[in-house]
Amino acid sequence: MEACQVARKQDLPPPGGYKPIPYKRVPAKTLFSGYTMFAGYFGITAFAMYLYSLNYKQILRDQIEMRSAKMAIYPMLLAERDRAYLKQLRKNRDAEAELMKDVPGWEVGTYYGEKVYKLLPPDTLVEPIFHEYYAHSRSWEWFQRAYLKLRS
Amino acid sequence: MSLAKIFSVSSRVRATGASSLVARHAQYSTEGKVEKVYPPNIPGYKYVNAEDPNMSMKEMSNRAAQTLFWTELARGFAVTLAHIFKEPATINYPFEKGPLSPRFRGEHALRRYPSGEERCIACKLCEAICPAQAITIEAEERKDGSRRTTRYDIDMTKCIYCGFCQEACPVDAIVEGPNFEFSTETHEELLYNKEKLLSNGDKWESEIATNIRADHLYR
Amino acid sequence: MFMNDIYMIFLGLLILIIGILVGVAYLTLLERKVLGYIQIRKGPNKVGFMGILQPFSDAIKLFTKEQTYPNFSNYLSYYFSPILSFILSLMIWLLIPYYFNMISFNLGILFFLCCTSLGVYTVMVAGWSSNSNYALLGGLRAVAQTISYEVSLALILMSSIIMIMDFNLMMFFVYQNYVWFIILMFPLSLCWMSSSLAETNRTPFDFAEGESELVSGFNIEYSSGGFALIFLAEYSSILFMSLLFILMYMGGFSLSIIFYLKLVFIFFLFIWVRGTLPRYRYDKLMYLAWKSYLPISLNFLLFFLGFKILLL
Repeated sequence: MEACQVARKQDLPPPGGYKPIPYKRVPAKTLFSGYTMFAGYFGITAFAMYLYSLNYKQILRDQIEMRSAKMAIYPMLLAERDRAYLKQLRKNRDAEAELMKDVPGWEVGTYYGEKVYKLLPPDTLVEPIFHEYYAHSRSWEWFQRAYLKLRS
Repeated sequence: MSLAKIFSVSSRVRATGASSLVARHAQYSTEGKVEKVYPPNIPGYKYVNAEDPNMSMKEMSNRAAQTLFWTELARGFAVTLAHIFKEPATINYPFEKGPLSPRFRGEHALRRYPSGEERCIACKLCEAICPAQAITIEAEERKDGSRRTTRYDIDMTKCIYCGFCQEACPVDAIVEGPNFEFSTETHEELLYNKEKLLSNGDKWESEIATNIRADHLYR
Repeated sequence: MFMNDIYMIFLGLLILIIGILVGVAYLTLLERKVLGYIQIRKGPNKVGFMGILQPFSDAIKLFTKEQTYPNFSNYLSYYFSPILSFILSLMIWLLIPYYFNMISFNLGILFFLCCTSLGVYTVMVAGWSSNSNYALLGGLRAVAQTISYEVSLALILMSSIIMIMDFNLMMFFVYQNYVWFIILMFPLSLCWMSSSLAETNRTPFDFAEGESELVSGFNIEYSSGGFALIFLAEYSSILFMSLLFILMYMGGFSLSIIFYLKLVFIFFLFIWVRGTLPRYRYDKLMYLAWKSYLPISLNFLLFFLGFKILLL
């Protein structure tokens, strides 16, 4: 066979043999010693603590500001609430007058001229009960107040 | 077994002498460290158990920093991060294929002579040698008096692709070709009969012949 | 009005859950990709465009597979523990720092601790009810590990609570305006990182699924949907842990895009750790929790307590 005439070439190691295998551990270069790292850590932490204390003081100031703002706005909110309440009472009175104008002998705020609270001085503000307060408003307004939900 | 044998290290180390032994904890400086030797002062013997760490303040703080700040772990992370940006060593498989050895043992095939006559002479050597007993052969005399198989089945689900059948074959009839992509959806499709094997042989003949020729020096 | 509120709450939760599930899906893809490139190969890159659809293909594959169950399992607990763990891991996402209906979760940190503690039971029940030795051992390991690391987790959390003096996660934003806590408590943040790795059974500490000794851990007997739920629960808790890391140590506000970029970076860190570190040893893991992290976190707790008292 002509194919067998081809010169055989056996795989051999390079002349002189292979190089020795480098198995020895090469330790990585240490950039920082333990002392430097701890010093750096303490320095950074101290600086961060300083920044944190600044932040904390800022937060305390913000809290005080928010509290004083709430206190400042509170009387106004209270007054507005009272005003709205009184306006609703007046609306209720007017609605009652409109509703009962055809009934002879009916006086607004009384039962045919008879006072409801006999012992109270005549100019006392008697706060109506919840259902009476909403007596002349729409039902969903009553519902909204009765089942008070956030954002409703 | 004597103590000397238990503690002895290889002859190569003994030849180089105990002085050149690699110290443990090579990452730390070796000051204030005594290499323990057991039995003491006999060259060629080395203490191989874990040693006490160096307890000088500097070394201790080094170790503490390494543990606390993950410095050694960070180095490892850097290595893997570098690997992310390396070129992937893969090929786009179904569209690109890796090289195969001429001796690759894949799907079986029954070959024919150039005249179209099938090579197999039903000697049943392959059936005999098959370690998984995956081959079944039945033979009869053909009308022209030659001995041929009437049945040549290989259960490819039993086959372990050892290649003994092609080594046993005296006429190079049964071979394991270079094809390895013959998955099927059912078990039955992997029970090959003579027809399937012969058609494999027809399909892969050029590759099989090239592989046999490439490998002829070693046969 | 008030029905409207309920609809909106449901809608918000639905969007949150969908967001989490899609996020988890793409985190699995990210994990496979990053692990692939770390091991100098490409991850999945065929399904869809460059593998974009791979997680969905995986999910569909998992859920369409046949669900098997062991012959002598305790069927009800076997069946429901993955569901429970999934629900728990979704419930924990109520803590996402965002004002739902102008409400934020006021005792969020306590809720977090409760949910992670309850998560242990699902693992335990899943491992026990499978009636398989491997599952039982994996479950026991996972439970021991998770409980141990919850201690250090809670103690590390205590330092942060001391720093913000509140159980509301939203307060972390306010208190990290000037300096991130990672700079203030660097070693503690590393402790938190590795504790959360252990808590979520991630790689250097993945003894719950030690493939070499416990085929797959407590979830061996689960297939198809059950396995998918366990998987989703694990990954969503990992995602939440990285969210918590960002919240506690890296500041920022949760409505900015930078916050989510940091979140992705921390999850990348989780994957990176998986691609880098080999598995630890079980006894060393326990020693790490009880003999290293416990004293470290207690010392830091005292230190920050003193610091806070000094500031008052």
